[in-house]
Amino acid sequence: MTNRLRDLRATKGLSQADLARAVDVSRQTINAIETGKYDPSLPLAFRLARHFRMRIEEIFEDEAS
Amino acid sequence: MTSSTTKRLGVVLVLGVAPLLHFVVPGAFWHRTATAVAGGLMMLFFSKEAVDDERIQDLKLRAVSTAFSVSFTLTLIVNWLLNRNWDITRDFDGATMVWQSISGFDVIILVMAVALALFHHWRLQDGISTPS
Repeated sequence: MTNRLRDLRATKGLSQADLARAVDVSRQTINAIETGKYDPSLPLAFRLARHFRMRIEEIFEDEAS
Repeated sequence: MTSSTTKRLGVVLVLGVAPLLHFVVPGAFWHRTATAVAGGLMMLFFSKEAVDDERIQDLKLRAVSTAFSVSFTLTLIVNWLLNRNWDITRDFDGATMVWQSISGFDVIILVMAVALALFHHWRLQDGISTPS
């Protein structure tokens, strides 16, 4: 799965720590998602989508599709 | 009990109680020491982390799953050597010799040591950040 998290975060001028606090996870988790090491759970994906006021599929893309 | 208290208790068991039982208390035997070490390592691994989010849970599950496979293999190798008196040229005679194995507490120590090492290594890798 690929994602646009890093770009979206940069656009909003947020650090990894800022975003981590906003969605209630560790900075390491945000880093792992951005670097593709970890695919977030559905509840976390929804929290991220809500934070950026976007739909989940606008942030995350399944490589198979 | 808070997560940090559990972790401190685990450290005390491994670094304090276990050596005390082994070197100071009379009548030392390895299984007693191993029990304290195994208990301490389990407390360290299974207690909650300061930030205990879904990634931490995922890493812990992966670490303990891998640790079981690695430790099972290590146990087979150690037992194989143990039953040949550490002499690989010697054959085990099932008719006359009794099969020996390391104890369950030793296996728990192996599993927890490998799991802790993997978990902290992977967590460190997660933390290695690109500029944010």
